[in-house]
Amino acid sequence: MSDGEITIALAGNPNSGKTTIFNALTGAHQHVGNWPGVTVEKKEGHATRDGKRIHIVDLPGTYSLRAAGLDEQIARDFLLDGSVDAVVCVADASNLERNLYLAVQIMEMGVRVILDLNMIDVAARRGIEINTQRLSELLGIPVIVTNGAKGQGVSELLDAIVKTTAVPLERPTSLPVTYPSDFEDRIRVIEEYLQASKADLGKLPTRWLAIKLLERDAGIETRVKDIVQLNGLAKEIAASRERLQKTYGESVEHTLAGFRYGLISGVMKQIAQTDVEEQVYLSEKIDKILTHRLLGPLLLLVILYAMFQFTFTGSEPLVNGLKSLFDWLGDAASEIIPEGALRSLVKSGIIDGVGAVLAFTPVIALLFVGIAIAEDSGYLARIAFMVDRVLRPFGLHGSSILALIVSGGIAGGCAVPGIMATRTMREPKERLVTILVTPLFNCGAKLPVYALLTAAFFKDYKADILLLLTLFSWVMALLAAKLISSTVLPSPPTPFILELPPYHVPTLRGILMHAWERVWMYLKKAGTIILAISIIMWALMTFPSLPAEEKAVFENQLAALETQSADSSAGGGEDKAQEATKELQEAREAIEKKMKSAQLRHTIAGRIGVALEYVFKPMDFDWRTNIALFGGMAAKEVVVSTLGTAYSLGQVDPEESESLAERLQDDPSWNPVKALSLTIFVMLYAPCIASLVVMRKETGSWRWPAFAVAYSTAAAYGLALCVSEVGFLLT
Amino acid sequence: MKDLQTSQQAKIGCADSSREAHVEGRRLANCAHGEMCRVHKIAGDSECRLRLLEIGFTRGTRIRVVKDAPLKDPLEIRVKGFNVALRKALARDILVDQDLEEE
Repeated sequence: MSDGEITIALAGNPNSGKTTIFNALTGAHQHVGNWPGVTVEKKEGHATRDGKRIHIVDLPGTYSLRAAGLDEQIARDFLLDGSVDAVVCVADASNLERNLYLAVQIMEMGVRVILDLNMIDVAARRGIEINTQRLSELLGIPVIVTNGAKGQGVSELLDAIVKTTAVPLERPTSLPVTYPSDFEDRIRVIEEYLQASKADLGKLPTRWLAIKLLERDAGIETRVKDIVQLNGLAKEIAASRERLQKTYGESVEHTLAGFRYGLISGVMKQIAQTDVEEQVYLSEKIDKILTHRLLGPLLLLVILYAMFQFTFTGSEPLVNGLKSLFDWLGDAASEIIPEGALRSLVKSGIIDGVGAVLAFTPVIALLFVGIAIAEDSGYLARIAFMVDRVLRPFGLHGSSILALIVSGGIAGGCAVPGIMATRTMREPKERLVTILVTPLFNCGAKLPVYALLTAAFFKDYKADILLLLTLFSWVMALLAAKLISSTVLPSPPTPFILELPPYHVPTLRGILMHAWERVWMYLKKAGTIILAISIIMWALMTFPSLPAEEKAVFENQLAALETQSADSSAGGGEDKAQEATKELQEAREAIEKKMKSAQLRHTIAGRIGVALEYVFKPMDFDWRTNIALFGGMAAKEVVVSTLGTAYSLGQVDPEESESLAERLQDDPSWNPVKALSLTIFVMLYAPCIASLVVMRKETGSWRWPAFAVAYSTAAAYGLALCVSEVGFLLT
Repeated sequence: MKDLQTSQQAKIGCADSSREAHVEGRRLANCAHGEMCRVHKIAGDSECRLRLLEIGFTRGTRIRVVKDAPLKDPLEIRVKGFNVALRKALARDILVDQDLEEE
């Protein structure tokens, strides 16, 4: 214990209401980070009681402490590292038997445990009565009753924390679980080996270590590898395991798990009125409709569509508001700062960059409000239950569906919130596959590109093209998922064990906290990198500027224009003069736009675009297209505006690109085949920087974003090439 | 009920029990919806068995098949007071006895 501060770990099963207890304990005093080296999030907070500061760490929700999954490993390592003064084990009172399994495992580790019987109201409604006094006596630990959603019992819980940690920890004399004597004998022998080795075991209790070694727990074996190998302990363990397995007909770990449950059912018989199990609960009745064979999928479609609309249509006013604000800021900056590199940096680099980062926040906030409602109410698990069969053949999981839809499974989504939505997935492999395929869908930023090319070449088929592109993106994403999960990640799928928690009404507070956490994490972690990269992209598309002699050519043209107009307007009426001014204005703008196009070609990005002409020769993409594609790696909406600049049309507003569409239509180097090939390329090629940064954040390394860029660009190139070759043969 | 599907399940992740088709008892995957039964034994690989044990599929536990998903897979099972969805391949590894209390 460090100077009066108490450190508490909050453990518990998924769906035990642990988060509501954490929120009730810490209030607003909490923050979210990551566990060291991994992407699982770590929530910490603090509370104050009797002048003591209590530091509370929320462990990932787990069913067990066998380090089989990442969540279990994190929870266990944290408890083993010995900085914890006590563990509050949050148990769902309506579901006590299974929840006690975790509690017993934690008690076996020899730490102070406080059992929190949460959701006591649900238990009461189901007619479950628990004798908490007796439970506390039988387990030898304090038992507190709470209703986290209403904040009841939280004060008592804080009192119990202070009281329990005030007394020095003695190794519990009465063991939480006593195994049959042949097991106890083996455990004792291994303990003796451990003690004899005189190795520094830190705070690891030897009994617990001995049990884990007997269970051949891989995590623990590596921790004490040296001791095990040194003095014949390994041989002893192997012999013990073999003997015990012969006696019980099951491996040691299975037998021990059975014993623990045996102890628990013994306790349950004494403290709870059991066998209320088989009344048909409200949730099963609700599911008669919500997961009904026909109505279920139908309602699912409606709900998913509503969630999508809520996220994207609902956030539109805010996104547009932010956009106007940043446009205004940009204009204001151009007025204050004199023309030159600085103005361009502030306006096109910083203000546009910050604007791009912030534009995602309303979407993320609303999406996570929607997800929190679905998750906290229990519906999310039902979605996974219904869709699993469809996605399974592709190496995905039922709960992937949300991420796929949000990313653009319904055209107009966005991969950034889509990738973040995979946080609801507990299966590491399926989650990674889902993350990797999300950018293949038609996000909102790709739509203006499609709109431009359709308007120019497939005017009469606008709606059909979008539908076809949506279907095509699904085909590509599912194919990619199948390929990735069977080649790059060939490990067997995570066993599908999905809890279907009882439905309940989510709390407003829980929903808002959830949404706020996500937005804040995005701004803090992803926002800064996205901003930095947008500035780099700006620099690449601005420098070096046009050399003086080339600039002079355009300036001379402008000067010539001035003198010419001055001559012609010398004599004539007022109308004529006005007309002349207008003509002059237009001519001047045309020259300026030409200069901008020349300037763009001169920049680093422009040179890359020219160099890429060799690569894209088969598809006939010229430097203008290539530079637009290059710019599109920052954000796909940049494709249209960059094409506009390159075609000397000035900055084209992606929403109103008629002029550019006409320009492309009239251009002899463009044809429907090239347009289609470019459409396919834009759909599939490298994910935008924002989604790459979020991908890095969610997978924990740059390896996966790099892989995503490589495979999607290769697929894009291959398919675009196919389109142009086949198109060439047909026309 | 007979084990009709045993031969084709070995490919799927956790289910590796094709060699144990002769084991006594019925498979949970073949139970009728709403039927109560008791866990007899869990076949299949060690990791999956342990996971099922940890969430309460211990020998003798009363369980009930609640329903199946709209596409008939996964199954919803009620065990120890909570509902859990398992893919059929995994449910084939759970061997059950009839619940005698009911008769």
